[in-house]
Amino acid sequence: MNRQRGVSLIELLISSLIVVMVLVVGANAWVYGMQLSVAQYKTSVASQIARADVERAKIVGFANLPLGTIAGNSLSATHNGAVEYFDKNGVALGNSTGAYLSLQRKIVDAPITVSGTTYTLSSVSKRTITTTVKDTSNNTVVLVLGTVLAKDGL
Amino acid sequence: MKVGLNFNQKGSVLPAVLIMSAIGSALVVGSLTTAGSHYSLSVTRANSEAALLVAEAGLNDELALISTKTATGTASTWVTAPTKISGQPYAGRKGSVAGTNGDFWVYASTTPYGTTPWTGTGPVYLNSTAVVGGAIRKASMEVKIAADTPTGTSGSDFNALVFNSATTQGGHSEGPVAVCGTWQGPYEINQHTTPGKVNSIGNIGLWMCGNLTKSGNVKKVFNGYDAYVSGSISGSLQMLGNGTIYKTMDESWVGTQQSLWTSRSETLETTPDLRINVSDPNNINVDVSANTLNGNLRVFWVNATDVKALKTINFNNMTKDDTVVVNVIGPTVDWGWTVNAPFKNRLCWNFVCTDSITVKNRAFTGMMLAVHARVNQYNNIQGNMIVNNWKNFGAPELHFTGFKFEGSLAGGSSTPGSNASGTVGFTGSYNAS
Repeated sequence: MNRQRGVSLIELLISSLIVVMVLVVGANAWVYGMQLSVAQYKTSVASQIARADVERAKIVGFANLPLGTIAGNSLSATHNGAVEYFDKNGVALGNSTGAYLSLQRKIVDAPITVSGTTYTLSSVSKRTITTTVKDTSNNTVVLVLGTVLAKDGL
Repeated sequence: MKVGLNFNQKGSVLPAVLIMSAIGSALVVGSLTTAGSHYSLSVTRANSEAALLVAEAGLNDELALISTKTATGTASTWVTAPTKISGQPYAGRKGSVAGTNGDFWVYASTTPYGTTPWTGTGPVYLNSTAVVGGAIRKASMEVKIAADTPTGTSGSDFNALVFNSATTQGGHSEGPVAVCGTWQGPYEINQHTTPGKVNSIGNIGLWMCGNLTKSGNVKKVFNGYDAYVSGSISGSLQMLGNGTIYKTMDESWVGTQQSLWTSRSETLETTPDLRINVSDPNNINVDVSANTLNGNLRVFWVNATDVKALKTINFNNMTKDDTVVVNVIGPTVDWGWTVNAPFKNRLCWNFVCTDSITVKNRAFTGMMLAVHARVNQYNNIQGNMIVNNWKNFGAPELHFTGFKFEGSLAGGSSTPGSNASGTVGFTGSYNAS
């Protein structure tokens, strides 16, 4: 039995090196995979709440969405809606505490007919709606959805 | 039997580590692939949602663009043609939604996603294709398009708007007359003070793109209104009150009106409507307010054979904001109804598929919209007459004072805003893919 040789030092070193390499690469890959998974989840939730917001705007409709502030050149007007907050499940929150995502709707009206400090819309006006969803942890944009409403349109 | 590695044997550690590393790597790669696939799928779904919204934006964008054009030009030029521009992947006009990714291409055609250009009449569909991050979505909707109707420029300012020939034995009109063809026979035109207007030209008594031929007495234009006649004048045209005869005129105007009124007629025919109960042998009573299908545009229908029986129809509970439209369905009409309505100038009889109308047994009251019909007039017509051909017998009259159509055929919430230049709107037919 003593004539049989055991594990050599070189073999042990090479094996250890491989194990270390695999562990390092595996750990990084695991972290990357987790990031992908989180990003996928975040995109999915963001898409759902953004789409829901645009659909709500469509239901309110061209004529009933709030008017905005007239631009200096009087050619357009912009309305920035209030920032809304959502938790990880896409449930709306009352404030930013514990928020996972934030959402803000913007409406740009053009062309408009200005009368003093107010304006009116007509059948040639377009109301461009964009809904931006941000990650509250770093304030980066996750998603932007947008559409255009017209009088008597979709 | 001994199973597994014998660590007492030479070189067993390295193979074992390699095998375990391979298994570990496979697991990691598999997990990464799964996570990557899920992420890609999530992004693709988000892009697909975004693309549909951009495609819909394209439809509304085209709708707003059409609204800017309906005041002038021919109807076919109001919409974007289904033409593929060199270098573009899809047919139509390219656009985008400011602040978002992706583009749309939108055009109009006669069928959903079709390639036949809209000629200005009949159904029109807007079609949009959008691309966002590789996701492609399409949307199509049917729209209604009607021309601008500002006071003084619409065919409804004419007591008679005849797209083709006319033959009269006599009689008179209270309002102006427009004919595009040959008009034979005597007639007294525009006896009341309501001149017509074409584009920027006013004070019109007669707008005639064709020849005036004489048979019996000459034609007369009253009250100092002008006559525009592009063709020849057989005999003479008496201008009472010193109106002027002009030979230069826009000969295409009547043709444009024909396209527009045909489109309106077809749109009204497809508008949701209620059938009028005609079972009463004497008096037909219609509760206008009970028809709430299209807001203040109250659309009804009857068969052409129904209006033959000599009866009285009463439009009850009609307000000044209502416009009543009755679609009369059938190829031949022999008119037999006396009409009572509180606002007769907001009543339109729409004969969308009628070839022949005879007004003999009773006077006709309301706007007669019959773009394909030949009218044989023995009795008075009280309101606008918009027809293809006109022939009168004896000396029946066209009444305009108090009967000039003032209704709104746009209907419901489609009433244009302050800057509106026409009526354009979604009909309710939509599909997306």
